[in-house]
Amino acid sequence: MTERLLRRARPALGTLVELGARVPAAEEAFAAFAKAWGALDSVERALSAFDPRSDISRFNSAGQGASISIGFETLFVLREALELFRQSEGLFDITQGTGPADWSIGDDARLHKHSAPVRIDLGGIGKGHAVDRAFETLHAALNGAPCWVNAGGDLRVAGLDLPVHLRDEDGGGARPWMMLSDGALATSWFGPGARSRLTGISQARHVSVAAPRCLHSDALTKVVAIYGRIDAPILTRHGATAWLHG
Amino acid sequence: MNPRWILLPAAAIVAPSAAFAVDYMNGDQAQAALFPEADHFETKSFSLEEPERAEIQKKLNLQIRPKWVVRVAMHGGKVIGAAVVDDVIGKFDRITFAAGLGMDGVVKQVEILSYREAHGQEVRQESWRKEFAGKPETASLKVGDDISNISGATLSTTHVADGVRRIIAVVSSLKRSGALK
Repeated sequence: MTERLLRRARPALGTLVELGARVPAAEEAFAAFAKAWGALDSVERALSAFDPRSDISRFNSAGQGASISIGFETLFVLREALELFRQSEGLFDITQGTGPADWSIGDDARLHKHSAPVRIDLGGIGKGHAVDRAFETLHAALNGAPCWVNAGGDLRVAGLDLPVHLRDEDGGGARPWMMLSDGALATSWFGPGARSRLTGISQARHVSVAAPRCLHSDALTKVVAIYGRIDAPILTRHGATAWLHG
Repeated sequence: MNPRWILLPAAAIVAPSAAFAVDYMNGDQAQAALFPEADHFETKSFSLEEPERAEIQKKLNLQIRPKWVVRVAMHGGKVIGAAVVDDVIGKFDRITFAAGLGMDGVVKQVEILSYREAHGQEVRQESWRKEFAGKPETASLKVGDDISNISGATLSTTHVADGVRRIIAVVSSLKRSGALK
């Protein structure tokens, strides 16, 4: 049976999200895509800082001493964020300086707020996790057939060689750069006007990181950007490789 | 398991950047994806009359063209919703998308039909922009086999969100005027 490449895209996570699969039957892919969109939506609903009902928004608007009940997805990402904070000696901080030590997860699996000004923004790590969940859901629904998920450059793939292009942020267009076969890749831009700032590196303005999971590849672009070098010890720990581009 | 990747030869990386395009689906596939329960679609053309058009434009602070093509979704002879295909242009990208609205005017789903990453020069060319702006519906698209993906940072879909707001306002106006029932 001839295998077909199928891909679909929707606006989600503030960007364009693409699902792709190489399968014999289109119906099989579309049923699996529907499940993956569902997984993506539920992570976005839990983690979005823009949805006032999300776990994160409820934390941000709560007062000092509040104890917030959170869902499984939020708990998962917050635990990962805490690990990354420790392993990066504080470089990776989801409070962006508003109070890195002013939140904690209790034994009751609730999120505790220890100061009024502390705010959590899961930004990239949340997007990375949404890609991981959508990918895991898709891959399982396809019984392990080759597939990928790409959320505006945060991507994860298994079972096929996916050609990856890099966008030219100044002039538009894209140029071929690598083939990713298994694992995740994220690229962050730290040029003028970008939300993220590259503090340690003067020349390069893009940081790309490949890692087994997209949560780590996205988070580690920020760590590399602040650390200023691509040999940060935390990369090895997560099986990650980093690149700097112009 | 560690990620597996191969960097392309340096020559490919220093090559000038090229336009990049992906076609996902055509309008017929989009209407079927947005309304899987529909058994029939009627494609209808509408003109927004003045001063209605100007009023919507002012209210949304977005350009509203007069001509619109609406794909009316039916089931058992009854109208169940409307799908509209439209284009938006961002910094370097052009996105063709379709929004499906239920009879309550609420967006059911948005599907992307095609994505184009252009050169800066192209985007600034009036002819490039004109080709798509004001076009009621993009001509049928070929769904390609190239699986290339893109990585980078600037792509934001706020202009798609604006495009969806425009469609909500237009469909609601057509319903109010009785043109779309």
